[in-house]
Amino acid sequence: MRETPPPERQLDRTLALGLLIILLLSAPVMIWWTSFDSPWYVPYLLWLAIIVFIAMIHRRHHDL
Amino acid sequence: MTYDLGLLFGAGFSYLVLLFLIAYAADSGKLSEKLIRHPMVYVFSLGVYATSWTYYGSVGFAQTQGYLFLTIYLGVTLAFALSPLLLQPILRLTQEYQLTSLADLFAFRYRSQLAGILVTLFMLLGTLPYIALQIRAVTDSMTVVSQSVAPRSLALIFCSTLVVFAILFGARHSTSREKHRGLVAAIAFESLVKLLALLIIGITALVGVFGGLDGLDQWLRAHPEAIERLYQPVREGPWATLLLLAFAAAFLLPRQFHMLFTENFEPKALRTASWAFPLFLLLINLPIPLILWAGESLQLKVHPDYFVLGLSLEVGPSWLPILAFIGGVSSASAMMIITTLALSSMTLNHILLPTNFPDPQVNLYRWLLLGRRLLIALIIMAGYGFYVLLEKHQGLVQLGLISFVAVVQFLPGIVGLLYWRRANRLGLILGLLAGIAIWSATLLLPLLESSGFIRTEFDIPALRLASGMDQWEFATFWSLTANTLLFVFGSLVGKQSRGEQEAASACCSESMIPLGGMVNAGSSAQFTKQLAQMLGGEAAEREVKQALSDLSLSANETRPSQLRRLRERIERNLSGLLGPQLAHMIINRRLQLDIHTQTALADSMRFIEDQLEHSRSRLRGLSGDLDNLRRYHRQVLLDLPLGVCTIDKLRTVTIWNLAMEVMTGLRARDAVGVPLHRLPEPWGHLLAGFASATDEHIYHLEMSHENSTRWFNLHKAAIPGPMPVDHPVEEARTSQVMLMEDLTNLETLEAELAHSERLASIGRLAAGVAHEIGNPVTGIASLAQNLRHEEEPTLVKESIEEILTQTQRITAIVKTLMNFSRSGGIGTDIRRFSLKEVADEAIRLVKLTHHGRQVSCENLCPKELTLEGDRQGLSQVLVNILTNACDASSPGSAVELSACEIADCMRIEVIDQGEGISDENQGYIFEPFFTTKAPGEGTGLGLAMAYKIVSDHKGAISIDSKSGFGTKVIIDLPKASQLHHEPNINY
Repeated sequence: MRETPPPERQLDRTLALGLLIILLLSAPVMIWWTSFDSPWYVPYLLWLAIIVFIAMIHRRHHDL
Repeated sequence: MTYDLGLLFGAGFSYLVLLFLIAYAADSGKLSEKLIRHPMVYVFSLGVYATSWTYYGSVGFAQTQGYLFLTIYLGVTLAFALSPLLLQPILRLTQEYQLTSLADLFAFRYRSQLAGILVTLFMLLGTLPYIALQIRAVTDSMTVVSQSVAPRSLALIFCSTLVVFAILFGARHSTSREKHRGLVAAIAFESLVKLLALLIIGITALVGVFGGLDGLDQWLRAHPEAIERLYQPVREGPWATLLLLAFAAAFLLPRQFHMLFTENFEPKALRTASWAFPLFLLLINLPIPLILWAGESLQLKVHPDYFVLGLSLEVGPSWLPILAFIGGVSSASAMMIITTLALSSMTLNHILLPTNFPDPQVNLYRWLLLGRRLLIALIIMAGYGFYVLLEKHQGLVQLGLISFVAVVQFLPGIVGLLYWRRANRLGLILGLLAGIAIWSATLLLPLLESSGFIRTEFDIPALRLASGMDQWEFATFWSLTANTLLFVFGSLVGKQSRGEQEAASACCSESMIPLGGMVNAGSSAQFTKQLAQMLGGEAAEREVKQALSDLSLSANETRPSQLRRLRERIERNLSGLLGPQLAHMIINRRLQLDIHTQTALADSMRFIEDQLEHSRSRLRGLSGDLDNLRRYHRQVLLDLPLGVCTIDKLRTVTIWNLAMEVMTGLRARDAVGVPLHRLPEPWGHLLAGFASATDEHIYHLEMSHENSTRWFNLHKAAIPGPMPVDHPVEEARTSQVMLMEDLTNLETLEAELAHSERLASIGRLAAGVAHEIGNPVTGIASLAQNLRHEEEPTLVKESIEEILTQTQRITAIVKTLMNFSRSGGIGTDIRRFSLKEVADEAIRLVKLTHHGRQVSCENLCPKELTLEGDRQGLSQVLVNILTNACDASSPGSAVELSACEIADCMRIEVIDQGEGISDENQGYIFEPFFTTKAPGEGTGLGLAMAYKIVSDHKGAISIDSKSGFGTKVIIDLPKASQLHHEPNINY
């Protein structure tokens, strides 16, 4: 069984995740994934990736 | 294909009846508890976020703004990703302090009724267009499906049905602190229905219009501009603004706050929701581009907002339009019901109750229930009124975004609430007023103006165009900037009240302020009596009982600290019933605190420890290390094998460790927080007396408890604390730590050892005793034989006298032995006695030993010297010392026992001319089991016992010896006994 990371690390991960999402949704990165030849489902894939990250980080969380 | 309006109405009505049945089944326990508490039910209930805006409006939004429509859900994803930093702290606060709405939360934190009123009014103002939007979506969808204009009466019937549903399943209880299981189950079902409906329509679009994924690919290759139209606005539009609006709306919209926090049964479910709810939103939005392109491909004649319906009419099976319509009804009804419940709770607590508090004669619960139900009806009907009055040219998304910009105004307040202790009500109110004013000027007035209600002179659109911003960017930027600046400015300039400081501490978990003051009411009955004057008898009794039960306290509770907790609990419970500000006001007025009475340290400690327990997982870095250190020290104190009891300035117990529990039989939970003198006897009397006594130590305190005698050592020390300079009297009343040492086992062991030592001495005396008794017995036998033949009366009488004398001699020896061997603890026979007599007796005993007979023992004690103490104990001291002296002396030498008075002391000296004691051995001779005698000749306990007895008499024993020059044993004893049966304490 995996050990639950200490609260400090869990909060750090949450903060890092928030920053990552903001980065992905920020203007310079957005230009890359909205480029003309991007398939229509790219935003959904990106969104799904974010959800997978959230699930990975929060699933092992205890109440903070 | 068209459908009859009556059929649509029937389908919609039947769907609402199905919702009634689901809610009823959940409420009446026909649905399993496990299912209702399942995290996915909670996740689906959060799907109330997806209203008819999502269901219908997203397609229209995507058509005009491309992928910007996704921002409304990506913002929510960001908020849920930050759940441990944002949502979980709010959930903790709402559950701990029974706060049922955002207005409650703000009124609680900023201790301001005005803040509650402002939030409520603004929420009402910002949400009514949104409710109108839902009604319009339902009637428009009927128009689209039936191809005929739906009469307004249908909208009215729809609204009335929702009023009945909301009242039956959302306002079952008089208080919004109760959870509504049926409502949650029904809303979760609604989310499932709209998700399935949209997915089925999406698949229909893909298969029915494009013929599958390949067909879609071909169509997209043929129409590359379709994808570009989705991406283009993202690069140019107000992406960040919409993300921010959705981020705030995710938890600040009344319906979101209500489902996320107020109706949360299981806090852990929020963890699942943090990823599962964004996944739900992704799935529900996945078909949107497909439906848009399918609609464009088919060149549907309906507005893109209703492509969902148009497509199902065009290509789907005959049941699909009905399903699509039901999905729309589902989206609208869920939003309207939950928003109305949330707004009714806010309006009741922050507008109706403060202005029209019911008379105590009126049943409060019934009044609240009636008020809540009335407000539900009023709010839904107000939404209907808004729907009737609004011009139809506003798109669904426009109406929704107006509400989003309204709720984003609460973002600075909520961030301040969670993370900025200095934030205050002045800042909040100034910021909110500015935000509301700009929101009204930039969004509400243009809306009303375009609907023809009012005409204004402001040329906001021109200003906006001049700024080069989009409508939403312009409104959001300026309202939020002004709001935030004034919030910060007001908070820096204004001062916090004490109540606000306490609330700020409760919200920012890293700081803790314990409960202050003492309640004037002295019992729970007095609580009820006081509260009845405002709440009425029934409500007061019920609330006090509830709070007592919550805290597991008895109705007879009178401990001040527990009554202080009871007051706090009642306030929290009333907060769930009447709102935090009103509850605070009622409690402050009816259950007044004596703020001049210092808070018992026990309460402060309990409060801080409770807080630390609660926030353990949140403590990080240095705080976490300090908490670990605190836990270690506390555990050491609790596990110390010595009774530890600390008391504060008010003589109230603050710490009662495990050893105290074992010694006294009193549990810590029953002792902590109780004034010393009110502890059960004999401990209350004993400890309170000791706390007041001037002595810092009491040794060998003997006391009877539960039919047995026990001995204790008591020690105490003051714990200095900060003292008020102008209260010198207080200086005498500091906190104290008291240590209690149970000597009972040691005393019993010592008594047994002493007895063993005496028996050992008797064993050593046995030969001498036999000799001493043998001589008179021989004499008696000779005299008796002579008497057989003696006839001379005078001689017979003389013989008889001699026999009696010999008999008395034997009796004296036996009596001395009996006295000596008698068992019993030290200090049990305290009296004044002649020292010479005791010395004679000791010499007689010693003379019975082999060495004793060979040595001349001389008693030089003056006759008049008397001593108070344990006669038997001192006799043993002299026997032990004289025995050692005789053993060390050579035959024919002398041992002298002398005594004299020195000030308050009596000095006894035993001098022998023996071989003396080496310097090396002098350090050990008083230690138990140390002996220089051959094995079997000494136990090594004689001098140790002598030392113990002399110490118990507060005396001193010392040795003056030089190897080869004899030994002098010096005993100093106080003339008056220092042995006590009772402690020397002032009661």
